Amino acid sequence: MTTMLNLMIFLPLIAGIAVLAMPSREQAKWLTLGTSIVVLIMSLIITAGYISDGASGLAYYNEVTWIQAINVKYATGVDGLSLPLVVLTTALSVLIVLASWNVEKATKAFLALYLFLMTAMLGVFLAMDLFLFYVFFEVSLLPMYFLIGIWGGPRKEYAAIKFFIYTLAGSICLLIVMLGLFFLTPQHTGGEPLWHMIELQNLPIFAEGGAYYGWAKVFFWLTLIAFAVKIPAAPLHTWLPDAHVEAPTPISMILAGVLLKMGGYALMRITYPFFPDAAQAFWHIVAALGVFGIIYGALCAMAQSDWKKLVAYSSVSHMGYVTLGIAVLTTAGFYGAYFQMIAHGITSAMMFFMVGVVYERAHHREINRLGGMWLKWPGYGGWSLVCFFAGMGLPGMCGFIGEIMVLLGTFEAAGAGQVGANAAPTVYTLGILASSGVVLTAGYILWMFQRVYMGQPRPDYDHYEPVNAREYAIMTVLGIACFVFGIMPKLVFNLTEGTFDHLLNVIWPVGQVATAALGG
Amino acid sequence: MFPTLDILNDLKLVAPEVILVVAMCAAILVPFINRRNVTLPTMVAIIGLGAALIAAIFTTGQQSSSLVFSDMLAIDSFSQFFKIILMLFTLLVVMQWVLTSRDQTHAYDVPDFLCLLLGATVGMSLMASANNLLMILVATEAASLPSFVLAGFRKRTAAGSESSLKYVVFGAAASSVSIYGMSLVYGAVGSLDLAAVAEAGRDMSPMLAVGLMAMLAGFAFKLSAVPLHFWCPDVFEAAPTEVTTFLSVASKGAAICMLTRLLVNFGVTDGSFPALVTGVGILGAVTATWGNLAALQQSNIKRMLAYSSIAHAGYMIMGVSAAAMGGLNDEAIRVVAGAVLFYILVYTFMNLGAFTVAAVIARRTGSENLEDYAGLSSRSPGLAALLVVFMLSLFGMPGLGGFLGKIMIGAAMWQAGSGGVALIAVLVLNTLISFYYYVRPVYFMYLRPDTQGRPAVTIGPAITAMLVLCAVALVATGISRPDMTHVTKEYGRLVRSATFRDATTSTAATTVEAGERLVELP
Repeated sequence: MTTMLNLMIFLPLIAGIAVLAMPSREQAKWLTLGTSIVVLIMSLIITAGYISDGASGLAYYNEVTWIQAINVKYATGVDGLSLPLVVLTTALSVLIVLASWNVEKATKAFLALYLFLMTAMLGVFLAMDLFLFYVFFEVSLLPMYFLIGIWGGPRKEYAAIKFFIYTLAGSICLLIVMLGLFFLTPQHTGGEPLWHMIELQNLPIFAEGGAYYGWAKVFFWLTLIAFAVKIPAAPLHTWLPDAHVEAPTPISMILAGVLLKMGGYALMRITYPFFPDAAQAFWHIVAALGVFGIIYGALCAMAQSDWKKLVAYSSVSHMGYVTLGIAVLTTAGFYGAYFQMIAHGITSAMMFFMVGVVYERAHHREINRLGGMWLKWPGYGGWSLVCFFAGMGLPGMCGFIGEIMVLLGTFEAAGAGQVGANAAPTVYTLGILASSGVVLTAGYILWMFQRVYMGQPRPDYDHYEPVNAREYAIMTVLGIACFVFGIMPKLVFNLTEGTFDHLLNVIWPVGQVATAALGG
Repeated sequence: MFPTLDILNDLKLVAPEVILVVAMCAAILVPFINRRNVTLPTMVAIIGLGAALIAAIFTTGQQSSSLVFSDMLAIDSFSQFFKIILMLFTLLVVMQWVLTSRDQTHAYDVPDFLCLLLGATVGMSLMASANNLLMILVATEAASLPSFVLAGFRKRTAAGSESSLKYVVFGAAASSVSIYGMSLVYGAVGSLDLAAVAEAGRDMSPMLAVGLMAMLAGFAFKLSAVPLHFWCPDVFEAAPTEVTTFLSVASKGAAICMLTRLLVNFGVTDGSFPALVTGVGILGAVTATWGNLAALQQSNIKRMLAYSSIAHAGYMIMGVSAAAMGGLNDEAIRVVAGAVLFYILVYTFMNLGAFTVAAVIARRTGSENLEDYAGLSSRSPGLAALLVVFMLSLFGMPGLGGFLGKIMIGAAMWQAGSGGVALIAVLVLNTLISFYYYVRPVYFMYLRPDTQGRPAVTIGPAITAMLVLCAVALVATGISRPDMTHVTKEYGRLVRSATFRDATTSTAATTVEAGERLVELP
């Protein structure tokens, strides 16, 4: 199983090199598709193994000494925090390869870069050594830079460099923290620096009253900035609309579907478990950032006339729930934030795909120049309805679970007392504001839906090619997923439960509330 | 009183230098056999360098730490490892020259060129071992004088002569300041031995402080540290590319090794030298920041790489500043010295690669302007991809050697206490700034289409092999297979003078010894 785990990370890399050597485009496409399917199957086998082994925490861990001088190891493994995101990545990858079938410009290079990106994404989720995590985290920027910069829209150069510089500035913050850990953790271990991401959780030297609590607060903020850029949490989100608008459809899908999740994953993996006391001290600022993101993103989305930009801002708004859910330090909040990431991975990828289907034919994304799409293609309209309503958080669909649990978790924080005894007024204010975000979401989605899908089809649609079977296949899979995860959130929670119990105990050592009701 | 002179044994330990001197003489003499033959002197140089490389490898294993020729030279694993890198690098530079511009050099000039190159290599090799101020002076001059001529080797271009003259004038001024400083140091200490100077530095007299500062100016010139960097971009732009490559790595590497040895001698004493640590640290920080900020504005790739080399020298200076912290143990010194060795090793490959790509492109398109790199990814995809690797490694992308080099330098800095934390912040910020200019060639090559129908650049198998070698070396060091950071740390052992060791380990013993000596005298 550990072999398969490591093979899963590097198979796309090898396939990427092979794709460049393929004689024809068609072969390159089939090889990419084959690789992504194999990787998907591997991830499913690992998941099945994880469940049948009854594993609850870290499993299939393996390590090899890598850089002896600084005690860095090549260490990989899975736990409940990474497994659902790995499956999300591999599953979306297959769909995204299908969505890129029509890329004409330098197809082989596109697919190779995409496969390299896949290695980086899986590496981020499976690395258990902080140094290795950093390497994958940073390396993932590079293929993205080229994918946006070469295959993007009219302002692609600007968007690509903006994306790179923003995330790079974030990673530099993480690098500073790593140097700090490199120097300070020997005080804890009594010799070698510590990089193991589980062992780094809640070190006494970084706890309140510990020798380096002051540093812990600095590190908390630095890691928070590093990952808030990626999530993206307002006000560090400004790269995202540009990147999404300029990126080609499949790249928008992977960006919204997986790359943003790296930020939320890293918050749950690094920022909060490493420095829980600092997190508790600053909870209200982070929570306020999350609420600000929800409302600001929704209001911006409402003001857009560019359809893709609207969807991009909806990502900012939806990912605000993730920040909020983590910040309030409650069980429900954590579960909700995690589920919101999975749900958003499905719905936002689908939303971008829906926009892409029209854009490929209309060559514009002006909402006001569209209308009547439903009557033009009723099937497409139906799946769009599923997708946007799932994003809106309609009960029974995946977007609902995440949002409602984050909101419940937020209000729960007033009673749980983890965020300070006198926090109730702050908590209620934030909770009410966040709840109003739900209304705003409904507002911009319904208004957009009305303008794009309702009414009579326009005459200039006549020459549009009909939506083909490949496109229907992609939206069917994603649409079904919207329902499946909306009805059976346990699919995710069963995997995460054991890990989250441990994680919450780390972050929140006292007064742990039973999670049985939530987790199943 | 005097250490016994075992000339034969000492000569064995300086075998690499001896071999190079022989090869140098041979290279200048072969034209007497056939003036038009360019292959013969080239072969002599390659064989000489190869033999010196082997000798350097053997002397590393044999006696890993010795002081030879009355403590003039220190032969230890640190110096020998640098010599291995240096010989390998010079060998690659000769290859680069053969492959890119030997055919443009007049046949009569070929032996001269090689002789000068070998001469400079001898000087740099000695710089890494110099353990005495006199030796520092001799070695630096031995490295500098041929470099001045090499910089102006394009005799018929005005820019070449100008750059050479600039280099000479600057070099002469720096040397004279340095010699003046050494004379002051000698006046204050009464010895030219590095360890004795460091020992005297415990109670720093004003004269000694001024002397050391003036002496450091000479180092700063060789390292092109700000404010003595002005020669660097002009020389690097106008000199032939192989000379630029050679100077950017070998000359700076040798100077940083010399600086490391000087500071380590200070570092092992019990006394602390906050002024020295701060001074060198600030010198490095200013150099790195200035180099990066100036590089941002360059449109010529060689000038950009020149400023980038200034910045990298700054990183290394910042790293070695930690060596002068008082009371360092062997482990701490190995961290610093190992970081320097690793950085030089990685820097060798990335600079060699970047300059070679610039040279072959300039040769085909006649332009060193970044604008003319537009659309290179479609004209010459392989070459463009290789340049991306070199640029990203210079920037410090994880997965490539340059990143680990910076990490190691950061680990070294930490030894300098709270000042070291500030230096780390400077390093990190500089890395961020440098991203902008390192990514510009990538931007032009991949994101800008070529609108002027510039020609494709095709490269022969030999250059391809050399570039691929550099790229593979960067990836290998980057993913740390083999674990070079560990190896360089193991090699980062420096030997220190015997007199000095007596003085620090037990003052009593020295006194007794001195007493005995007194008795022996009639």
